[in-house]
Amino acid sequence: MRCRYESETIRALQTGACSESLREHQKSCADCRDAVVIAQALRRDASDLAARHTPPASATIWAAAERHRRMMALARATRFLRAMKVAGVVYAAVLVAWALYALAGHGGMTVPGLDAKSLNATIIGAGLAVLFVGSGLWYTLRRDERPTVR
Amino acid sequence: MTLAETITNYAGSTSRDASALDEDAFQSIYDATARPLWGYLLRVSGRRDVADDLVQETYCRFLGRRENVLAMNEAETRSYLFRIATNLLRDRWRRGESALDGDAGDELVMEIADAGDDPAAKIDVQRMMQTLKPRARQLLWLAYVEGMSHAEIAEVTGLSALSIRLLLFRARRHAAALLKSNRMETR
Repeated sequence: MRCRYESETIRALQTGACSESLREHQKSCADCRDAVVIAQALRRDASDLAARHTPPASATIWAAAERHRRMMALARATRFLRAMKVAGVVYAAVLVAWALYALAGHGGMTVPGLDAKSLNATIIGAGLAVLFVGSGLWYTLRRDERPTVR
Repeated sequence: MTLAETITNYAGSTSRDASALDEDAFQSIYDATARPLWGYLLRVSGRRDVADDLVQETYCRFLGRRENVLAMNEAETRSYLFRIATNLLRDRWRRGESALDGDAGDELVMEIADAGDDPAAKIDVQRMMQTLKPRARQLLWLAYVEGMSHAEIAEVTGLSALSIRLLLFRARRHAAALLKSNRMETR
């Protein structure tokens, strides 16, 4: 199906070292002759392309890669902030639900284990938590001000 | 300093610390491999714009994994670059961008106009490459131009070495027939 000397023929074409026995074999083997013809044609084409093409400067590629790496690192670093944002929203929703429930209990219904004194302490604690978490979220999620051009 | 600036500095400092492969070393790798890689991408994709884009993207990805690169020898580095480029080409085809679309025909005419000696031979080769399927073009180029073994081609293309043997045989037979018929038409 496939000549076992084909690889050797291609290697000889690359190195330029073709033995007499291999040359004799090529005369009688159509597969190897085809391989030589195609390889020579493609290699001529490749060397012609290499001679005419000027690739972009390596410094340009290096700079692009550096930019890409920085962007990836930035995306990794801001992943934590995105998680904090989601946690803040969840926290706010839970707090509102709990506050509605507790205040309704204070008005008529009773919340087990929550008297007026501990309710006050809880509301103050929750208020402080909202203040700290809110200020943290504001600091991390605020947009940077654009520099004004004078 | 705003948080955004802090994060940007952090990102910059980590990339600098991790840059085990320096710019000079990269330049020598690039000088040795960029032209062959571009030729491969041009002839397999059939489009100059795709070849230009993918060369840049290949080296960006290569530099993104520069920690692995230092342990490689010259042949492994070359094989690694061709593997990245081949995967990027495959991604383009999966996204529905077919090879040899658009201005490929016009580019062929311009290339032939630029060609020095034996433009007929150039036409034959390019017609042959345009007629072959992308997989066949890849295998022929890697085997006959880059001189890769079946194992190396298997590593670059992600196929098994046994499949390479058969596919290369078919590709060569098809290419030889096309080259002969093109020569008869041209002369």
